[in-house]
Amino acid sequence: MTKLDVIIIVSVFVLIIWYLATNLPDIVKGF
Amino acid sequence: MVFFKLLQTFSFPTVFLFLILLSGLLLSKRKAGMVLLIVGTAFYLFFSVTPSADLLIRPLENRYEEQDAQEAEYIVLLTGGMENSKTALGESTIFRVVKAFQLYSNFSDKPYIIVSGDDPTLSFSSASEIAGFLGSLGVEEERIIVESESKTTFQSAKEVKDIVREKKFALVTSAYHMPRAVYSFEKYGLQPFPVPSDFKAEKDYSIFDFFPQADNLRKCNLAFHEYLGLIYYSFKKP
Repeated sequence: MTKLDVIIIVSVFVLIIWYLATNLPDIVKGF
Repeated sequence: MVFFKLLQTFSFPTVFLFLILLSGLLLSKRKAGMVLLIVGTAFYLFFSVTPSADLLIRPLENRYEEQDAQEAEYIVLLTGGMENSKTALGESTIFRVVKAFQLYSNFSDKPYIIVSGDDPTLSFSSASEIAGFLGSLGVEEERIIVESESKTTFQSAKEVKDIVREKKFALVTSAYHMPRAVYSFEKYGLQPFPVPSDFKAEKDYSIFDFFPQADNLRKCNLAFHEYLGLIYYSFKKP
Protein backbone atom coordinates (compact mmCIF):
# COMPACT_ATOMS: atom_id res chain seq x y z
CA MET A 1 0.00 0.00 0.00
CA THR A 2 1.67 3.20 -1.18
CA LYS A 3 0.93 6.75 -0.11
CA LEU A 4 -0.75 7.31 -3.47
CA ASP A 5 -3.16 4.41 -2.79
CA VAL A 6 -4.14 5.92 0.55
CA ILE A 7 -4.63 9.36 -1.01
CA ILE A 8 -6.83 7.88 -3.75
CA ILE A 9 -8.99 5.88 -1.29
CA VAL A 10 -9.44 8.85 1.07
CA SER A 11 -10.23 11.21 -1.84
CA VAL A 12 -12.86 8.87 -3.30
CA PHE A 13 -14.40 8.49 0.15
CA VAL A 14 -14.53 12.25 0.72
CA LEU A 15 -16.04 12.76 -2.75
CA ILE A 16 -18.79 10.20 -2.03
CA ILE A 17 -19.69 11.92 1.27
CA TRP A 18 -19.65 15.35 -0.37
CA TYR A 19 -21.86 14.09 -3.20
CA LEU A 20 -24.37 12.54 -0.80
CA ALA A 21 -24.51 15.60 1.44
CA THR A 22 -25.09 18.03 -1.43
CA ASN A 23 -27.26 16.02 -3.81
CA LEU A 24 -29.44 13.56 -1.90
CA PRO A 25 -32.18 16.05 -0.91
CA ASP A 26 -32.59 17.13 -4.55
CA ILE A 27 -32.56 13.55 -5.77
CA VAL A 28 -35.39 12.67 -3.36
CA LYS A 29 -37.36 15.77 -4.46
CA GLY A 30 -37.08 14.51 -8.02
CA PHE A 31 -39.46 11.67 -7.24
CA MET B 1 -40.24 -11.93 -6.59
CA VAL B 2 -37.59 -14.13 -4.94
CA PHE B 3 -34.99 -12.62 -7.28
CA PHE B 4 -35.94 -9.08 -6.23
CA LYS B 5 -35.90 -10.05 -2.54
CA LEU B 6 -32.40 -11.49 -3.03
CA LEU B 7 -31.26 -8.38 -4.90
CA GLN B 8 -32.74 -6.26 -2.12
CA THR B 9 -30.88 -8.28 0.53
CA PHE B 10 -27.55 -7.82 -1.25
CA SER B 11 -28.17 -4.09 -1.54
CA PHE B 12 -28.19 -3.71 2.25
CA PRO B 13 -24.97 -2.19 3.61
CA THR B 14 -24.82 -4.85 6.34
CA VAL B 15 -24.65 -7.56 3.65
CA PHE B 16 -22.47 -5.99 0.97
CA LEU B 17 -20.01 -4.62 3.56
CA PHE B 18 -19.63 -8.12 4.95
CA LEU B 19 -18.94 -9.40 1.42
CA ILE B 20 -16.36 -6.64 0.79
CA LEU B 21 -14.59 -7.44 4.08
CA LEU B 22 -14.74 -11.20 3.48
CA SER B 23 -13.28 -10.77 -0.02
CA GLY B 24 -10.57 -8.56 1.50
CA LEU B 25 -9.69 -11.26 4.02
CA LEU B 26 -9.58 -14.00 1.36
CA LEU B 27 -7.32 -11.84 -0.83
CA SER B 28 -5.36 -10.31 2.05
CA LYS B 29 -1.99 -11.43 0.62
CA ARG B 30 -2.61 -9.36 -2.50
CA LYS B 31 -2.80 -5.60 -2.85
CA ALA B 32 -6.44 -5.78 -3.97
CA GLY B 33 -7.25 -7.57 -0.71
CA MET B 34 -5.71 -4.76 1.33
CA VAL B 35 -7.67 -2.17 -0.65
CA LEU B 36 -10.92 -4.09 -0.04
CA LEU B 37 -10.17 -4.34 3.69
CA ILE B 38 -9.48 -0.61 3.96
CA VAL B 39 -12.51 0.35 1.86
CA GLY B 40 -14.74 -2.09 3.77
CA THR B 41 -13.56 -0.84 7.16
CA ALA B 42 -13.97 2.80 6.10
CA PHE B 43 -17.51 2.16 4.89
CA TYR B 44 -18.34 0.16 8.00
CA LEU B 45 -17.36 3.22 10.04
CA PHE B 46 -19.28 5.49 7.69
CA PHE B 47 -22.52 3.49 7.89
CA SER B 48 -22.33 2.83 11.63
CA VAL B 49 -21.84 6.34 13.02
CA THR B 50 -24.90 8.50 13.60
CA PRO B 51 -24.07 11.66 11.55
CA SER B 52 -23.36 9.76 8.34
CA ALA B 53 -26.30 7.35 8.76
CA ASP B 54 -28.46 10.46 9.22
CA LEU B 55 -26.91 11.94 6.08
CA LEU B 56 -28.53 9.07 4.19
CA ILE B 57 -31.90 8.93 5.93
CA ARG B 58 -32.57 12.63 6.58
CA PRO B 59 -33.26 13.66 2.97
CA LEU B 60 -36.03 11.03 2.91
CA GLU B 61 -37.46 12.14 6.26
CA ASN B 62 -37.38 15.86 5.43
CA ARG B 63 -39.04 15.47 2.03
CA TYR B 64 -42.57 15.93 3.41
CA GLU B 65 -43.62 17.97 6.40
CA GLU B 66 -46.77 17.12 8.30
CA GLN B 67 -49.76 18.77 6.65
CA ASP B 68 -52.99 19.87 8.24
CA ALA B 69 -55.33 16.99 7.48
CA GLN B 70 -58.56 18.36 8.98
CA GLU B 71 -60.35 18.13 5.61
CA ALA B 72 -59.52 14.44 5.31
CA GLU B 73 -62.31 11.88 5.40
CA TYR B 74 -59.94 8.95 5.67
CA ILE B 75 -56.69 8.22 7.44
CA VAL B 76 -54.63 5.71 5.50
CA LEU B 77 -52.26 3.84 7.80
CA LEU B 78 -49.59 1.90 5.95
CA THR B 79 -48.54 -1.11 7.98
CA GLY B 80 -44.91 -1.75 8.88
CA GLY B 81 -43.31 -5.05 9.72
CA MET B 82 -43.80 -7.50 12.54
CA GLU B 83 -41.13 -8.52 15.06
CA ASN B 84 -40.40 -11.39 17.47
CA SER B 85 -40.66 -14.11 14.82
CA LYS B 86 -43.48 -12.03 13.34
CA THR B 87 -45.75 -12.38 16.35
CA ALA B 88 -45.64 -8.78 17.62
CA LEU B 89 -46.10 -5.40 15.97
CA GLY B 90 -42.76 -3.96 14.88
CA GLU B 91 -41.32 -0.73 16.21
CA SER B 92 -42.15 1.28 13.07
CA THR B 93 -45.68 -0.14 13.02
CA ILE B 94 -46.31 0.96 16.59
CA PHE B 95 -45.09 4.51 15.85
CA ARG B 96 -47.38 4.66 12.84
CA VAL B 97 -50.39 3.30 14.74
CA VAL B 98 -49.89 5.81 17.57
CA LYS B 99 -49.61 8.68 15.06
CA ALA B 100 -52.78 7.55 13.26
CA PHE B 101 -54.59 7.31 16.59
CA GLN B 102 -53.42 10.80 17.63
CA LEU B 103 -54.63 12.17 14.32
CA TYR B 104 -57.95 10.35 14.63
CA SER B 105 -58.43 11.74 18.14
CA ASN B 106 -58.02 15.31 16.87
CA PHE B 107 -60.98 15.06 14.52
CA SER B 108 -64.41 16.12 15.73
CA ASP B 109 -66.07 14.25 12.82
CA LYS B 110 -64.26 10.95 13.16
CA PRO B 111 -62.70 9.78 9.87
CA TYR B 112 -62.31 6.19 8.70
CA ILE B 113 -58.94 4.59 9.30
CA ILE B 114 -57.83 2.34 6.44
CA VAL B 115 -55.20 -0.12 7.64
CA SER B 116 -53.43 -1.01 4.42
CA GLY B 117 -50.87 -3.70 3.60
CA ASP B 118 -50.15 -7.24 4.65
CA ASP B 119 -47.06 -9.40 4.90
CA PRO B 120 -47.30 -12.28 2.39
CA THR B 121 -45.02 -14.47 4.52
CA LEU B 122 -47.46 -14.49 7.46
CA SER B 123 -50.16 -17.09 8.02
CA PHE B 124 -52.41 -14.42 9.53
CA SER B 125 -53.39 -10.86 8.60
CA SER B 126 -51.09 -8.30 10.23
CA ALA B 127 -53.51 -5.58 9.06
CA SER B 128 -56.25 -7.24 11.14
CA GLU B 129 -53.87 -7.42 14.13
CA ILE B 130 -53.23 -3.68 13.79
CA ALA B 131 -56.97 -3.01 13.42
CA GLY B 132 -57.49 -4.93 16.67
CA PHE B 133 -54.80 -2.84 18.35
CA LEU B 134 -56.48 0.37 17.15
CA GLY B 135 -59.77 -0.93 18.53
CA SER B 136 -58.13 -1.55 21.91
CA LEU B 137 -56.95 2.09 21.88
CA GLY B 138 -60.56 3.22 21.50
CA VAL B 139 -61.14 3.59 17.77
CA GLU B 140 -64.71 2.57 16.94
CA GLU B 141 -64.79 -0.73 15.08
CA GLU B 142 -67.04 0.57 12.31
CA ARG B 143 -64.50 3.33 11.61
CA ILE B 144 -61.71 0.82 10.80
CA ILE B 145 -61.33 -0.58 7.29
CA VAL B 146 -58.87 -3.44 6.85
CA GLU B 147 -57.23 -3.60 3.43
CA SER B 148 -55.11 -6.74 3.36
CA GLU B 149 -54.95 -7.35 -0.40
CA SER B 150 -51.81 -5.28 -0.93
CA LYS B 151 -48.37 -6.69 -0.22
CA THR B 152 -46.30 -3.66 -1.26
CA THR B 153 -46.57 0.12 -0.97
CA PHE B 154 -47.37 0.36 -4.67
CA GLN B 155 -50.22 -2.13 -4.34
CA SER B 156 -51.49 -0.21 -1.30
CA ALA B 157 -51.92 2.87 -3.48
CA LYS B 158 -54.01 0.87 -5.95
CA GLU B 159 -56.22 -0.71 -3.29
CA VAL B 160 -56.69 2.52 -1.35
CA LYS B 161 -57.72 4.33 -4.54
CA ASP B 162 -60.60 1.86 -4.92
CA ILE B 163 -61.77 2.73 -1.40
CA VAL B 164 -61.28 6.50 -1.16
CA ARG B 165 -62.10 7.37 -4.81
CA GLU B 166 -61.99 11.18 -5.00
CA LYS B 167 -62.15 11.84 -1.26
CA LYS B 168 -59.36 13.51 0.69
CA PHE B 169 -57.18 11.43 2.98
CA ALA B 170 -54.21 11.68 5.32
CA LEU B 171 -51.34 9.28 4.79
CA VAL B 172 -49.60 7.99 7.91
CA THR B 173 -46.34 6.12 7.62
CA SER B 174 -42.73 6.35 8.77
CA ALA B 175 -41.01 9.56 7.68
CA TYR B 176 -38.29 7.66 5.79
CA HIS B 177 -41.01 5.73 3.90
CA MET B 178 -43.09 8.82 3.03
CA PRO B 179 -41.36 9.77 -0.28
CA ARG B 180 -41.89 6.27 -1.72
CA ALA B 181 -45.45 6.13 -0.36
CA VAL B 182 -46.47 9.56 -1.72
CA TYR B 183 -44.74 8.75 -5.02
CA SER B 184 -46.81 5.54 -5.31
CA PHE B 185 -50.09 7.33 -4.51
CA GLU B 186 -49.30 10.12 -6.97
CA LYS B 187 -48.75 7.52 -9.68
CA TYR B 188 -52.38 6.50 -9.10
CA GLY B 189 -53.46 10.15 -9.31
CA LEU B 190 -54.02 10.58 -5.57
CA GLN B 191 -52.89 13.57 -3.50
CA PRO B 192 -52.62 12.56 0.17
CA PHE B 193 -51.92 14.85 3.12
CA PRO B 194 -48.59 13.45 4.36
CA VAL B 195 -48.45 12.80 8.12
CA PRO B 196 -44.99 11.38 8.79
CA SER B 197 -44.08 9.58 12.02
CA ASP B 198 -41.25 7.41 13.37
CA PHE B 199 -38.38 9.84 12.68
CA LYS B 200 -34.97 8.18 12.87
CA ALA B 201 -32.48 11.03 12.25
CA GLU B 202 -31.11 12.84 15.30
CA LYS B 203 -31.36 16.60 15.70
CA ASP B 204 -28.01 17.13 17.44
CA TYR B 205 -24.98 15.04 18.24
CA SER B 206 -22.68 14.23 21.12
CA ILE B 207 -19.22 12.68 20.97
CA PHE B 208 -20.79 9.23 21.51
CA ASP B 209 -22.61 9.53 18.19
CA PHE B 210 -19.24 9.18 16.45
CA PHE B 211 -18.78 5.62 17.76
CA PRO B 212 -20.16 2.74 15.69
CA GLN B 213 -23.69 1.70 16.72
CA ALA B 214 -25.80 -1.16 15.39
CA ASP B 215 -28.86 1.07 15.14
CA ASN B 216 -27.13 3.21 12.51
CA LEU B 217 -26.46 0.20 10.29
CA ARG B 218 -30.20 -0.51 10.46
CA LYS B 219 -30.94 3.11 9.50
CA CYS B 220 -28.65 2.73 6.49
CA ASN B 221 -30.38 -0.52 5.49
CA LEU B 222 -33.72 1.31 5.64
CA ALA B 223 -32.36 4.25 3.60
CA PHE B 224 -30.88 1.98 0.91
CA HIS B 225 -34.17 0.07 0.76
CA GLU B 226 -36.04 3.35 0.17
CA TYR B 227 -33.66 4.79 -2.43
CA LEU B 228 -33.63 1.58 -4.43
CA GLY B 229 -37.40 1.30 -4.00
CA LEU B 230 -37.85 4.82 -5.41
CA ILE B 231 -35.73 3.92 -8.44
CA TYR B 232 -37.63 0.66 -8.90
CA TYR B 233 -41.02 2.40 -8.60
CA SER B 234 -40.00 5.01 -11.16
CA PHE B 235 -40.10 2.20 -13.75
CA LYS B 236 -43.44 0.80 -12.55
CA LYS B 237 -46.66 1.73 -14.24
CA PRO B 238 -50.02 1.77 -12.44
